[in-house]
Amino acid sequence: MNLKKISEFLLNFKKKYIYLVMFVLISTPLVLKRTQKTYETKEVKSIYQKIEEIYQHNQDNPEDKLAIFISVDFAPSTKAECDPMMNAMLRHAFLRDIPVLGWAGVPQGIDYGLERFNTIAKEYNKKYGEDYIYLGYAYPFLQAALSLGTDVRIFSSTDYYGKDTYDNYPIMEKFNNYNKLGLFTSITGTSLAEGWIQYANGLFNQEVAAGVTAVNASRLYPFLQSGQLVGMMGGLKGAAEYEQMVERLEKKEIKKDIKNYLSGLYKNYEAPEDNPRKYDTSYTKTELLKSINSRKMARQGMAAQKIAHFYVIALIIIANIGYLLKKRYESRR
Amino acid sequence: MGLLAWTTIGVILTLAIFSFLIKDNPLYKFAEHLFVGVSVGYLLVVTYTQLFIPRVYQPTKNAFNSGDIFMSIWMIVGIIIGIMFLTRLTEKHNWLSRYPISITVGFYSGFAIMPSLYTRVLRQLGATVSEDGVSMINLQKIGLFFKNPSWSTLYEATYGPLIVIGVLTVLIYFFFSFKNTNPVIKYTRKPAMVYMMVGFGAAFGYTFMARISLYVDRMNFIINEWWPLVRVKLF
Amino acid sequence: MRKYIILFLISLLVFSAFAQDTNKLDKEITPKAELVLQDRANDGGTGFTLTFKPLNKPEELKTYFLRIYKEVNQEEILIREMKVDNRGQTVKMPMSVQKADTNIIARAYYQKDGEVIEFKEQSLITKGEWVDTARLSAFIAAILFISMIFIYVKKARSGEELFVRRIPGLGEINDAIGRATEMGKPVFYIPGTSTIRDVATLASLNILRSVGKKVAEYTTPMKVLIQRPLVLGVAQEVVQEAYMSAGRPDLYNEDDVYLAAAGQFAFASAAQGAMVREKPGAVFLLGMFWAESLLLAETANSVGAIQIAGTDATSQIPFFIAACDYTLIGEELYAASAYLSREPKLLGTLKAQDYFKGLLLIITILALFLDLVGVEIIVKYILS
Repeated sequence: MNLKKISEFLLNFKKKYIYLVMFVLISTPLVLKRTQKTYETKEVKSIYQKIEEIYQHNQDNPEDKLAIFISVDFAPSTKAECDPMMNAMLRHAFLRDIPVLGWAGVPQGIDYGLERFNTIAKEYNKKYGEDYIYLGYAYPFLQAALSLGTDVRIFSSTDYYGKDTYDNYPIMEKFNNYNKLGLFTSITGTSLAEGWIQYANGLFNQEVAAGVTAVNASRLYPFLQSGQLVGMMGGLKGAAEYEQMVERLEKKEIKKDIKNYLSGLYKNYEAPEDNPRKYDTSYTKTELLKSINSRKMARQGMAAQKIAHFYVIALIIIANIGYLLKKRYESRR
Repeated sequence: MGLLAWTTIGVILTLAIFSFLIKDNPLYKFAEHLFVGVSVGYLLVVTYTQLFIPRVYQPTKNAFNSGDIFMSIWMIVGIIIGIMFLTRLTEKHNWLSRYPISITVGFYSGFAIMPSLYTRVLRQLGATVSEDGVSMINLQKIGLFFKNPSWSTLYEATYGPLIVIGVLTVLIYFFFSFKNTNPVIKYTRKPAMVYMMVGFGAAFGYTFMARISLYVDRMNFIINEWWPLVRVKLF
Repeated sequence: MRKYIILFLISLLVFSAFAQDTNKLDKEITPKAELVLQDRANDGGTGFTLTFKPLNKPEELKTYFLRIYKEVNQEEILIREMKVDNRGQTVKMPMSVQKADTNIIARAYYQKDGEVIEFKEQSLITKGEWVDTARLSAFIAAILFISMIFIYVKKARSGEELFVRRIPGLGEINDAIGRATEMGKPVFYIPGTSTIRDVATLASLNILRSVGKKVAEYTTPMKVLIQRPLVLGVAQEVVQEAYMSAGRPDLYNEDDVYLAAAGQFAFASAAQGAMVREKPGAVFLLGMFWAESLLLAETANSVGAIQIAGTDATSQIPFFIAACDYTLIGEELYAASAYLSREPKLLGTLKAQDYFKGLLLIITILALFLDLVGVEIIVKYILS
């Protein structure tokens, strides 16, 4: 057995072929539209259960409802992982008629976050200012975190659209500080989640959950273990888990095929002249398609992710074998 | 047609950036410069609509309209201090910018001390000692494993002690006041390295997943977002 | 006979109707409830909690109403109005107002004959506290830590010898420079890609001073690649000083410390290009890095350079450990910087950190033992 030749072959794969095989392996499940069913971990289930608890509380106390706050702390550059998380969470909240407040912690996320809020709200016929609101850019961070301790309208005196938050929105009258928030979620690709834990949870004992990119996920496990975080969605896997749980809930609640449900949602609706909704009350074919596809984004990604991981594991094993053979050859020499 | 057009532009720009893998080329340069230009323009607009209006203009207007003199003066003082930042751009008056910088740095640094210590140190050490009121070194769980050995009882029995040992050894690893020959430093070095390498390995794996996710998302965008739109619209 | 029986039954019915009416008149509902307003502890004076416990049976009184007012300029302004369904359960509602020392008035009502009648009132003036007693342990820890920093920095400034053990990575730095000198190849130094305010950049520039001195002694060429303009100015001064302290100011060339590129990946490309062209013998990647870290480390590896890396960015440490020959992990970078520069502030803060860490270790170990025997005093009052 020519150890030298074998080890050289194994250790010198050309990079372009490695990338080419990666391209083919990732594209195949996406082209075939495969989705990957995933096991649900405790840390993601905790967030889901927390929102269910809020729903139950709202059912039992209709005069003393709780809302959730979603902080869009990611830029479109990390939307791969963060977008499915935010979509799933918004769907969950709207399905359960939980009021949602939101803002963006990074400037590149402002309009992106608003677009997602309005798009998902459209799927559940939610009204801006009553069922949800978007407060624009939460900067400086510390003042944003502290303002929620008393009244967020001191900080966000206008919403994204520039309207006064004191006079114009029923949701802001009822839900304007941590007391009225059942859960604060930071969805981020930066270290902003740690900031929310430090101030919202540290100073005000607010329940905080995080949806983070995989790069930052390993840093947040200590907070999960200490109970400072209610739960965490880590990377595309976490997003896929939450997406899966929400899809089950949606099937149970809506009891219809999603396409039929969305097509029929605004069939008999006539928008008034001063339409308070921040979206068109109709679905085009392309919008319908996009809405349906966005419900399985993370799981489609996980199908490709699974193959990519196996591929890289195989490459690592091959390279290690090559390295061991090289060492053996050199020691024989 | 609007959604398809914008999505197609997204696809073209995605492919333009990916073309860098072959080599640096004008298409990549165009996409990069477009991104930089749009970011700057967008930030400018955002600064006005999302910062100046809700944080400066509207609260000041509300304060004056409500007749709250104290708040009005407070807002004006704040605005003046903020404007002093801009004196950095002049050579003659840039000494004025030291005041707002000192206020900002002093406030942020000082305010962060207590929450950082509480959240990142004391609470974490508390979680190292006990979790949900149960001691991490739980003799009952260890006894349960010996009574009823299984993977789950093994996990429950060892989870706590492993975390405790890890935290203590890694803390000692970063202790620089003892000599390298000190027995405490010497014998905790290897376990600490094992813990750190396992941690870094997990972080590495997670980071790899993140990088692949970015690529998967772009391919998903092209294959499952753009192409179906093309089929629906054009075919 | 039948006539009398029917008459008797009818009169019974009439009497029973009357009896009901009489019952109604006799049993007037007295609304009862516990209404408590409590100021929230450890806040700025804006928080309070309203607790409402219905004392009537649900069959007696199905619904209560609550109105909460705040007094502003002797005028009562309604802040909340709500209906409470009587399920026999206590309702607890935390609330906030915008200003401290606000007079809050809560009134409970019940409905009778379509009219809403008040039956209970409570008032409270919200008060703020100067000290958040729930965070007292963190405050004491902060004071202790800051005091230790002052003490040790003062000791360092007075010239007292403060022992810091030799960081193993520092020996590797000397070996790397020696190897590059033997091979006749230059040394590359990249002090991170962050701003001058970043602690990691400052630590890296301190190490650059001693690396610069060494390369000057060995007359090994050194290139320093910078991404940020402010860092460039400081780095040029540091290298010049290092060369002067080694007695070789003639070797210093300003063009060897240069701004490679301003953007993140543009810098990575420029640095990679320089490494491929000049084939350094040793590459130092010390400071704060982001996604470009692996690009730089891999390229340096491919040109056969020995690599010493050091960063406090936990997300990049795995990449450096995988790709580089030696890595200074996190605090080791600061310790190396303090060890080499012997600057009083750095040394003093490092010692203070060490002793504070030691104190926390002792408290943790003590807490573990006490917790084992069921004494939770440390966990309850210090660590949580």
